[in-house]
Amino acid sequence: MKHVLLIDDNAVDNFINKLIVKESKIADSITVMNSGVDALEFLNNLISKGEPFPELIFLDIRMPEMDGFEFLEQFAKFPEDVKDKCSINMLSSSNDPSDIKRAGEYPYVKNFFNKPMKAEMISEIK
Amino acid sequence: MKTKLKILHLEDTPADAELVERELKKGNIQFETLVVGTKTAFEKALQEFVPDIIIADHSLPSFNSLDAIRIMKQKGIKIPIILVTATVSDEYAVEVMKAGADDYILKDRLHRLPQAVLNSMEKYSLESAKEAVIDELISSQLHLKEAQGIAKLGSWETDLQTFNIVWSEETHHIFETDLKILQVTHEVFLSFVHPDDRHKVNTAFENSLTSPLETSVEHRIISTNGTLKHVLENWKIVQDDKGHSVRAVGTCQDITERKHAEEEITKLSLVARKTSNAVVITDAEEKIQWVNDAFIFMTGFELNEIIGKRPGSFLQGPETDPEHVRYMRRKIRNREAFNCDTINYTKTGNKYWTRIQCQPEFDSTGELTGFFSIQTDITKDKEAEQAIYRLSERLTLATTSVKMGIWDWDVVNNKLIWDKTMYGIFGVAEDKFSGAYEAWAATVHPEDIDEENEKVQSALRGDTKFDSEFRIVWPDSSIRYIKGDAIVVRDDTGKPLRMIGTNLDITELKKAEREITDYKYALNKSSILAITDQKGIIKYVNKNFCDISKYSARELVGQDHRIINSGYHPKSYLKNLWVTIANGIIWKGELKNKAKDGTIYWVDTTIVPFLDEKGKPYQYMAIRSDITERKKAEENLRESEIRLKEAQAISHTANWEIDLITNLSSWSDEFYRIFGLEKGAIQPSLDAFYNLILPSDRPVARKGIREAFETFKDSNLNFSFKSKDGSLNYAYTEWRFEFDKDKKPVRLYGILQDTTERKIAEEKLEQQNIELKKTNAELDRFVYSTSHDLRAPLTSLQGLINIMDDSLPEAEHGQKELVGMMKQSITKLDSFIEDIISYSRNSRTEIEKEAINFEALINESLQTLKYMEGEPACEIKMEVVQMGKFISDNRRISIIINNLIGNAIKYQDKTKPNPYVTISVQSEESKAIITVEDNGIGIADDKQERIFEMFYRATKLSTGSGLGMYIVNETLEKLNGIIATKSKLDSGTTFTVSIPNLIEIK
Repeated sequence: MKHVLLIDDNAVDNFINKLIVKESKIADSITVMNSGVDALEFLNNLISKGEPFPELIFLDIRMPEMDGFEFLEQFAKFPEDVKDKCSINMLSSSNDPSDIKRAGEYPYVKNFFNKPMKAEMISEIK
Repeated sequence: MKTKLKILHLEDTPADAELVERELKKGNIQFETLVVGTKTAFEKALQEFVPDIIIADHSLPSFNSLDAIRIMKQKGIKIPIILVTATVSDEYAVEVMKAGADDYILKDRLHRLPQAVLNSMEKYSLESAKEAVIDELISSQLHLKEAQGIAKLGSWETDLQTFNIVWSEETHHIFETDLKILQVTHEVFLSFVHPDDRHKVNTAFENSLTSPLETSVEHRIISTNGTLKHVLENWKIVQDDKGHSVRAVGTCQDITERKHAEEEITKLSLVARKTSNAVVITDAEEKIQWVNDAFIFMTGFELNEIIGKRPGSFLQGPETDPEHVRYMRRKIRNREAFNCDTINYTKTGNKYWTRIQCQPEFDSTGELTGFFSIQTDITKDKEAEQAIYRLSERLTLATTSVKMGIWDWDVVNNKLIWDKTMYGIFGVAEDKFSGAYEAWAATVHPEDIDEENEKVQSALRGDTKFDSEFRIVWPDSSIRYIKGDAIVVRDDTGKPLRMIGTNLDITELKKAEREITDYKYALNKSSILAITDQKGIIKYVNKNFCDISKYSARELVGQDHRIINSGYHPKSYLKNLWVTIANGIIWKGELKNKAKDGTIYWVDTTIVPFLDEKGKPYQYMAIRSDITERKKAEENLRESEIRLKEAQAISHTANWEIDLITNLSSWSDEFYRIFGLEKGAIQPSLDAFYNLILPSDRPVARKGIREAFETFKDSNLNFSFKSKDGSLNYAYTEWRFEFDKDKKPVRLYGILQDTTERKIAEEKLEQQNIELKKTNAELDRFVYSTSHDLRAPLTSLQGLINIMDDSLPEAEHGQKELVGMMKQSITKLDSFIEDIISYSRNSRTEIEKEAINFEALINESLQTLKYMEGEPACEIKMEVVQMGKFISDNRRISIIINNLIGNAIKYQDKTKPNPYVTISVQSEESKAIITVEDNGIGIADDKQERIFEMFYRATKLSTGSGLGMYIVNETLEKLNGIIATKSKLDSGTTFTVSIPNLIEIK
């Protein structure tokens, strides 16, 4: 069972995503963060507490304060051993090829999904 | 004393001579003898042997001793003569002794001879001593007399009591009176004195009586014979003890000659002074003491200017022959008289020929006192002499250079005589010429001889004058041309006696004639010729003239030369032509003429005036050559030069060049204009060019040009400069090198362009571009944000509907249907927004080149399409062959592929058991071919061509916006790609897209 982190500023999307993940029964815990900044703080807390990173992260691109790509930049600074079990999946309403291409440049980004999240996506990750 | 007695022995018998000699030797007499036997030998010996004594045999064959004595007397030879004889009668002996023989000795008493000789010699030496004394006495008396006579000085003494006068012999001589007859008194004396002088003489005499001093008077006398003489009398009064004057003692000297000489000198000096010849008298050192008026007149020098100078020092000048000067100097040094013709100069520098006759003057002791010279102006003579010399020279030249021979043929006797020149002309040696008519005929050229024979015969008959040109063959077989003339001399009956003629070698003349003919021919063939009279009326034209002017010769001759005047040249140009040739000067120039048919032609023209003996032109020859083509080319060149200038002015392009040999620069007019300079305001040079450049740009410019000169490579340079109004201007120059055949650079040339306007436009464009880019980027961000903000709520909605759908039990059919319709509406709106964004992006954004990975691109597309709502699965086949790099716009290709694959899936034929989509890519160096094939519903034929229209939807099944294929087409246009459609309704569609590879081939 996994720890899944959902990062999205849209409360409706977070509701949908949490529901779908929960129903997929792959997660023993789901953390929802409303912004990249909060998510980074959460991850830093994990490190300080010596707890492992979530195995699965769903990351929105377009967010206020810190967008998905800025988050990826900060994420890259975490120690390798902490993040190596962690796979990030982009989940965005954008199907802009440049966004897709840019996301692909980060090694720990495993998938690029267009919203809305569907059960098939979870099963594909498994 | 003589050591040897010279004895002349008259003897014809050698034995007797020997006998006498032996006797003389016995007598111890030192002697030498000469024996002679004839009268002639005797006379010769007297003269040459000079004997001291003569011993003579009485009778000799040719003469006897009496004759010998007589000969001696005649010659005044006084030496002893002793006769030696065999027998002699007393009478004869007496006669001989009387005649002058000193002794005689019989042959049988010869022993007496030595004594007789000695006696005779002694007697003669005594006599001669006596004679010498007498001679001396006589001669001293004579000398006195002679002295008086020579000096013509007589003496006199007057008794002052009686006034009787005693004259010496010489005084008588002077008065031509007889010493023995005339008793001279003072009265008598006065009667001889010239009446005009008597008073003077008497007064002087009376005055002298009371004077103790010597009195001297000069007067004239008339001698007994009536001769007028001048005499000088000197006398003194002698007084007795009581102081009474008793006598007058004086001398009388005939000074007539001196007087005459003085008069002569006076006259001569007058002559010298007044003669037209210049007279110069110098001292012994040649320094001028006196010159006459003629000298002053001739030379222009005044006496005070030249006195004490040597004549040569101021008379000789540059053209005076140094040889003459040396000659005169030598003569003067040697104190010899000389004549010399030489060039002298007057004071004003005019030269003249003078004949100098100079003579040294000596005093009575032989001391040089000076030089006397007469100078005659012989300029005229010299000129005449030279003229004659030149004339005679010319004459000599003429006579020797004209090879005219003269011949004379005696017709009757067939004797032909040639002068020397004839032999020269015919190349025949004098001894090889037989002197007959046939000898001449043999020299004549075989082709000419018959005609010449006939001409001679005709002349002899008197039909024609002999006047012929014929050829002769020299012994060396060379051919000469001869001109012959002759006259025939006849007797009274008209029968020809002689034929006399001249022959002239005209070979050279013939050659010259031939040459002239050749030249004429060549000129005629090569040039356009015309001859006009002095007024310009055409007298002759050649064929070339007719050809170019298109007139016939008949039309031209007699016409004014203006017939071909084109009217092109200004009047002044043609006037200058006529003035030039009318003055007899050759004119050269280019003329534009007009042919008969109006066509224009250009000729290079030389007009040669032919002058008469007065130097006036009597006709003109115009030699022309056709230069029409050249002129046309020149005009074309000129026009293109003008056009180039215009073009340069319009394009603000100038050209410049540097001659690398002379290092001289030249700039075109436009060059100056670009820099706002007056044409030629600055001397073109590299430095001048640097100075025109803005100082901040100079280092770069210098570097660029320096490199050019090091590498000789073509290059260019951009620089800025300050214009006249101070604004910043820009220019561009580009240059090339020209090399000679040795690859050595000889010329650097280039263009210069004012790029200010372009530069400003470029800057403006760049600014606009930046702004545009900025605008586009903003727009792009706007579209991106908009699309996200539009789609974000839609996707949320989709997610919620999906949850709702899942949570609805299957039984709720009605509700389930409603939820499905909601999903469709949202999907349609989403895809429409997607299409609008794609279109907007494509039309606005630049192509972004990057490497394309077709396989990844297709997979991404399939990934996105996988979650497409409500589409049933279908078999997807993919085949990608990518060879090498393919460069294009990733986003645009992605749009194309998305649309094509999307359509293929969307419009699958659900009735078919195995719907499929086959995607294949063939990527190569030049292009990529993408094929998307399906077995879907297909497109009706009549609708196929409309599918690319905006908002067109080919089927009612379509859920799209009608923008998809339109966007594909638009995007392909951006990429320079093409699309082909192959479709059949109900059986499937194949789209084939070709996209060029934007890879830059290196």
